[in-house]
Amino acid sequence: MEKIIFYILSAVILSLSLMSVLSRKLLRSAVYLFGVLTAIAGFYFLIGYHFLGAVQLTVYAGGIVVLIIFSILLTHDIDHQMPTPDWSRVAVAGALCVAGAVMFVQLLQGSLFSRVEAPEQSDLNTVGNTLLNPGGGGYLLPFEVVSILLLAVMIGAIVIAKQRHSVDDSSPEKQAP
Amino acid sequence: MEGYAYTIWIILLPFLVFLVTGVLSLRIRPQLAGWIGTAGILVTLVLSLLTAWNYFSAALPADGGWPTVIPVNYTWLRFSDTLVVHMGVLLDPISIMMLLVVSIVSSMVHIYSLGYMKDEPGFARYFAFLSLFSFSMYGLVLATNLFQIYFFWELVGVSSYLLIGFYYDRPSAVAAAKKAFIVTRFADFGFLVGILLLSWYSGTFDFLALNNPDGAAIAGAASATFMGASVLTWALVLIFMGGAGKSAMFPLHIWLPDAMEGPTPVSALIHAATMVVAGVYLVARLFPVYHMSGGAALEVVAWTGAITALFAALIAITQEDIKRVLAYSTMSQIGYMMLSLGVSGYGGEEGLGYTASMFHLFTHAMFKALLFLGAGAVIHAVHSNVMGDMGGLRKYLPITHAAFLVACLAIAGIPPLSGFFSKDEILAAALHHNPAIYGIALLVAGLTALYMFRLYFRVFWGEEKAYAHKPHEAPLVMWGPLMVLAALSVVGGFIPFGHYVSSDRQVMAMHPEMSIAVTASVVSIAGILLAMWLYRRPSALPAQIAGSLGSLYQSAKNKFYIDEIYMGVTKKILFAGIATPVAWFDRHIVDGTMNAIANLTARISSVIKGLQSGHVQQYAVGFVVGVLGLVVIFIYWLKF
Amino acid sequence: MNWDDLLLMRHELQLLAVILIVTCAEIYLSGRDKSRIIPLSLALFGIHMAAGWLWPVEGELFGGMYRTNGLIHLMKSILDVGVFIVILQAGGWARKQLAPENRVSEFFLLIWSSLLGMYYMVSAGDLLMVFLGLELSTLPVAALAAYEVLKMRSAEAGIKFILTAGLASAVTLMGISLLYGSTGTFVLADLGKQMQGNSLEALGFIFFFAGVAFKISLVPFHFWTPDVYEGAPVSVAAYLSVISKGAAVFILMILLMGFAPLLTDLWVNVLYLLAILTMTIGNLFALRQRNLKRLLAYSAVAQAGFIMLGFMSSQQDGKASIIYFMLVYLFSNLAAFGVVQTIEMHTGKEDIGDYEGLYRTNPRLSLVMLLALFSLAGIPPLAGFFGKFFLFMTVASAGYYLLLTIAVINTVISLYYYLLIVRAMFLRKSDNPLPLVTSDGWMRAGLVICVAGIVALGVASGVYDAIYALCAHL
Repeated sequence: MEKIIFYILSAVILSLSLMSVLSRKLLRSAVYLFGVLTAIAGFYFLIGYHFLGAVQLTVYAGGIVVLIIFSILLTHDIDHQMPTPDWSRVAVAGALCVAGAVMFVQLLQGSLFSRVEAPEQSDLNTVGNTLLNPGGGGYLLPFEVVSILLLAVMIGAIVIAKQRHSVDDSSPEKQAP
Repeated sequence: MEGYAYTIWIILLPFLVFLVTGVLSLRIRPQLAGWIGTAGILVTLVLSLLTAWNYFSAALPADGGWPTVIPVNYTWLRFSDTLVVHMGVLLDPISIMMLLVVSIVSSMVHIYSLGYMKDEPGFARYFAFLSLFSFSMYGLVLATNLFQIYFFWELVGVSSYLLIGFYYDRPSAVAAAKKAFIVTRFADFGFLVGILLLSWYSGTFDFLALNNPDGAAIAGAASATFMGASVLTWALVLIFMGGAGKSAMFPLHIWLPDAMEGPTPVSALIHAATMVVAGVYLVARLFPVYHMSGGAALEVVAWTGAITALFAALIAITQEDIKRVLAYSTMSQIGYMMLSLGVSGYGGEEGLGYTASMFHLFTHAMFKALLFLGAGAVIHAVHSNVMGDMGGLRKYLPITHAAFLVACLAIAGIPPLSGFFSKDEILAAALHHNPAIYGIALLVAGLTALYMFRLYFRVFWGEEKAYAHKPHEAPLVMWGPLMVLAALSVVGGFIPFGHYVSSDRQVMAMHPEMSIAVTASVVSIAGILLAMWLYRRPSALPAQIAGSLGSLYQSAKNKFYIDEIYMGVTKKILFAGIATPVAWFDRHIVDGTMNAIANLTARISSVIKGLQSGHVQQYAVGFVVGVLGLVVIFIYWLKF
Repeated sequence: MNWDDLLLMRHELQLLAVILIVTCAEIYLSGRDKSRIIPLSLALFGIHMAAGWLWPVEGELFGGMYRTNGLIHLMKSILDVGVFIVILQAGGWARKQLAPENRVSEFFLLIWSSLLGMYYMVSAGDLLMVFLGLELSTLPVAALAAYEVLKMRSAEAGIKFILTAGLASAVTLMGISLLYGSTGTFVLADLGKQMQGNSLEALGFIFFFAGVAFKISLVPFHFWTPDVYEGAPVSVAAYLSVISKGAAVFILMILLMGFAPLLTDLWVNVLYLLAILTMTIGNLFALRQRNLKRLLAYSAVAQAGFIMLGFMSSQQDGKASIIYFMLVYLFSNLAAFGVVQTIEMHTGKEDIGDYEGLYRTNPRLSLVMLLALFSLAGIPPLAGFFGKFFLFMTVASAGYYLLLTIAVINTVISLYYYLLIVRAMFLRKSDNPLPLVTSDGWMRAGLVICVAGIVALGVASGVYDAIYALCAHL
């Protein structure tokens, strides 16, 4: 039963990913992406990581994709259709993808992944404790580093987006395109 | 032995002065730069005297030999755990003697230059270069190892290049500077190869280890052979080649006469007393190694010295330019020192040549610097270098005249002036070793007296010329140093040199040998009398003699055509034989290849222009191709 | 957490404090006083840098996720010096261009966040921290590259950087997950023990390596370099070429030499190949550049190839030669970028042709440039010579004579294009050379530090010895 669900989910993810990349319309790509992310959440539920699955649903499927769709709506014409690339690029990209995939599959078949036993509990309590534990096995430091990363990226985004307050008219940038 | 740590300042101080005057040369008054430079060098003079006093007044160690003191040794480069290059200060009798020579002459030249260079543009630059030179020279004489000596050796080369080319608006000066640089660089190439050979086999650069009398460090090099001689001998001959380049030994001497294009005080400093004797110092520094290598390398040194001494003395008789006479005279005297080192043995009385060589180095530095500075005063007075423009100057330049006479007597070896004692020792050493060399040396002694007094009589006696304006005596800053050097030239011979400097560091008593002393004095006096007869009064005699000697005189006057030979060799062989094919190779092969590469690059870049087109998608393709390429090469192909 | 633990993370905590203080200053200073943030930032960072050199300590924190020792401490301190020079040189630019737009403090904050990421990266005890550090060090730089928002090229540089960096991160992450898949652990210390040397690990390594190689800009992961250097503000290009690259080299060194014993054969050969490719292609492209920023970009690519030479030996000499070269390269390259920045800021010119006759009008800048270029080219007795010398010695002692020959040939090629600039500045006469440019005091201080470094490192061998000694334990 698990295997059947696994293969269904995999097929959904693969086909939706391809459609997301190949679609000529931005909005459609975003919707396909939504499907991919939801299907990935399915994987988490399948192996019993309920908390992670929920996070995947709320943050990625619920949050990020919605954000992407909003930004597409704000900046672009929804009907904007991207041009069809010429055949040579398609050929190169296709060849690379095929080569990469073949290589990957072959190398993976030859070697074994080492098994990691799933933690017995993945409830909110354990996750929280692990996340904020400064000692061995805890993830307090990465957690804090991620928070700095987010802060830095926000500052970066704001500084690029923010309008200039007082502009010196003689500034040479004024004339720049 | 503690308490010599301050000696590092002898090296560093001139460098600091160089930095200060060099950086500020355009900001401060030129006079100030001169005073800073002079003050700096005087401080190092005081420090050097202090060092000598401390060293020689200290009690001798139990085994009776003068010790080697290394107060400062700073690790500079680490080639391997054993082969380490240091920068440091090494004090032993000969380095202290050189320290005295350099500091005394350099101080006198600094003071003298305050007057001589007074109105030159670039006065501050001149003093900056002088400080740089002094710094390099101190570093050289105090070097603790071969690598340090090589480093400062090159630095000395560079700074003398700057000083010779000081009048850079004069094409001949620039050419002379370039010539000096190239010839010595050629010689230094041999030096470098020699150093590398020696250090490769001995595993050390340090003089202390190399000169170890039981020869542990150089055993390996002595046993390996190459083309019939031991590698050690080859290395030492190559090192000597470097020394011969700097010390203007035949046939690498051609740069020295041309180098007289530099300001005269510079000639006194570089080409009389300090840089040119660096080659002698180098051989003396490695003397135990030379001795241990068997006789071959020293034989080369001895004969090179003897030939140079004779050859240069012959040329000196015929030269018309006062500074060129002195230049050839310098060559000849350095040849003397070299031959003396070459005939020396090691230890006890055998080592007389070594002591004599160092002794002569010391006395020669004093009277030759005096001669150059005196010549400078003459040139300063008559504004010409050529003896034809001079004559009867003793009335106008009494002080210079007196100083010059002292120097001439000293170099001719008239007792009791300093040159007599040192030359006497050299002759004694040569006689005990090799009668042929002794004969040459004796002949050179006579020739020396002849050409020096030829110079003296033609400048100060002879017919008075019509001077554009009346020659006048130089100012105090110029004749003061002359007096100091003259005094040293007079009394220098009474230093019991063997007490301080000997090949095995033991105290050695020197016994003047009456027979040699008398012979040498007679030969010298004969030379002087001959010069007096020929040149005291204007006469046609010299011209007649020159005419009767015909081609010999001509070839001597033309410096035996060595320059022409070099030109011929370089033109015919280097240019025709080597340069033309190289040029062809350059034009057809190298250029062709470069053009091909350029075409190829242009073609490729038009093909792969997409790769650097600014299209970020294609950069991504490049990235992925790179990753896949690595996987293919290393995992599939090479199977790691 | 006690006092000793805080001391272990001193670099990070100090820098966080600096970041917080400047953030507060940004909030509380009124609009007109904003330019006061520049001296404040410089002073605070200067203190941080100076304090950073003191008391190297060794230890672990957070259950081994964070570790430090003398060598890591030295790496961080070297990065500090680089960042200090970069922001010093950026001071005048920030005042002139950023202050009117009220974007001064963000510039410093972004650079520092990136630096903080590098700290965590080199101190990482497991792959998770390595990756987070890598991201934290990369993403703020994308914003910095696009800092001159109204310049088309700058915005383009930012976009290009973030897109290619995104790809690189994805590939790295894939590599990390493959390594995790094969060994079952993230922890670096366990990684080496768990490895079996199978091809899955090799694949994981190559993927991971590609991401780091992107930051070092090794060929063929270098395509972004010239475009981004050209478009980004000069300070940011300098930051990318020295600090970013340095941190990536350091982490590569720590990971490869410390924790990948089974893969040694693989990575030595990968780096052997890439060193040759990088030196040669970087140099050949540099030959054809007329724009100085692009030229320096390709020169930076070629220099990255030289750095890889040090990886040929995992012994003490290899490590020491890499770190020493980075230190030397830091001063030399920052000096060159400083001069380019000064000229560009005042005249807007950045082509070699514009530099003709520069010596006549700007002797001091030209001399600084001369020293920097000679040091980059490796001419004795400047520091660059010794940097290259030790790298070559490492290659020679490892016995790779072919590589050594190629490296020497490349040195000669590089000499050619460095001398092109020198010739333009000193030997060419120009009818209308650039006017006299007066650099501001901060820039001048930055250049003086660089020049002092270039000259002093060539003379003071004690530096190399100290590094050599520290490299005994990684």
